[in-house]
Amino acid sequence: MNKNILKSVAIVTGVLLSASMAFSSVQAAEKKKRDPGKKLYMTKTCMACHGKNGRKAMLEYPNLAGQDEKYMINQINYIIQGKRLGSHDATGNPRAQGMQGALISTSDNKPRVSKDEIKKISKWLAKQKPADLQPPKTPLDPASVEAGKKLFKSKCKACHGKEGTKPLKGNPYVAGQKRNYLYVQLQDIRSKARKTPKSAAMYGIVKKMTDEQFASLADYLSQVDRNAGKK
Amino acid sequence: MITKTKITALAATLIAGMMVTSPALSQQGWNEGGGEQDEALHLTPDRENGIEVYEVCAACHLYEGWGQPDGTFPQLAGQHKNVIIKQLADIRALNRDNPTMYPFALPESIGGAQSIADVSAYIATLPMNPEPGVGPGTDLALGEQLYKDNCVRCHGDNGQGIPEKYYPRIQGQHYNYLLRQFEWIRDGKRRNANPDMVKQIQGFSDKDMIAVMDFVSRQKPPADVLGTPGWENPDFE
Repeated sequence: MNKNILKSVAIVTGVLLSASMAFSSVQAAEKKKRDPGKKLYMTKTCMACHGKNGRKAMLEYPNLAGQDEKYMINQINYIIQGKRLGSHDATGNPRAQGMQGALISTSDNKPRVSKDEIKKISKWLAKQKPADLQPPKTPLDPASVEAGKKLFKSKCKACHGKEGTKPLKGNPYVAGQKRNYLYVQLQDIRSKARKTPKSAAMYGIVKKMTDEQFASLADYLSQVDRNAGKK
Repeated sequence: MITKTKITALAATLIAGMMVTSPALSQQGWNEGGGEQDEALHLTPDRENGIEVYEVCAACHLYEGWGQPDGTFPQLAGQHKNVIIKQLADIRALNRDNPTMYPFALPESIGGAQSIADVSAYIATLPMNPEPGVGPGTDLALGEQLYKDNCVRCHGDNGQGIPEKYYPRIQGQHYNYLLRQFEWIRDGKRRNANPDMVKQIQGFSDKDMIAVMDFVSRQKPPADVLGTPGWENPDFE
């Protein structure tokens, strides 16, 4: 009697075990088939700065998960071509030069990533869930956030969409982006340190704005949650 | 006869003495040491943390530390610990210009002196790429002669370097990387270059440079530091 029970327990366990093993090997096989964009993102050095799945960028680099596809394709190409530079970073070089250095081969000065690969990387990144909101490093002044919100509505909404979450195609999502990244980009577009065909249109809007206004915009946008209501 | 030998020996000692003292003076700015570099040199490395820190580096230098044959990212595997410590400390202190690597060398990215010690010691243990990128192979005899006449004293008869003096292992490094660094050192673009080397190679034409770097890239590291083709680093499985 006892022997029979033990036997059937053993059989059931065996069946369950092999079923779960079969399941996990299917999972493993699926896992192995990485999106080609993700694979390129990981092997062409993008991940080093922009972080796992584009959501954990280091230092003040931007998070790219869920960014506009066309915008990213344009920016990557601008950076490779030296058309997007930016103000000087701590090394005394234009901000985007570090990225250019990683994407251009030093032996023949040709891009290490093809146009097609750039498209694949951008397409994959655009599909990723945006980074979760990070609480500010230092508490933000509510008055500044409020001023930023107002300013955004009157000056920025037309291209970047409601609360920075619905940009026109080819324009970047700015909601939930890192505060200091936004602040520096606003300054760079005003000073023309960042000067690309796209930023030319924005220059007219920011040229008379103050650092204080930029700070308000950056404070406000950095705290808009693109994942709100989607969880 | 004996006297002659003695005089020669004395002269050699004197010359050697001068060679030791004058570079020490001219090397100021090349290798002042101090700070994090000295700190890292004297810390006991932790392998596990070295592996963890290295993950950041692997994005460009690859998990194996083998770099890219196009020379964009050098091979790090098998480099002397002291050399890695010095270069990392230099990049971080802005003594060596490298805008692409700079953010990764920051304490916020990899940690303090202990992390420099850990990752440098770990990198030194990685087996080297047995198939580095090499040059055109058209002027190897010239390259060998130039190497013998100019490079042996510091980089060794086979490009193995001198760890205690921070002279790097250059044997088996990717040709394109060697070429770029040589050119930058010759032309004053690499700020943390040893001034003695800058002087030594001033007369090198581009043809000389290509020949000697081609020769160096083809020098085989000793068997105990060499990996097998296609090796994958098991520390990152």
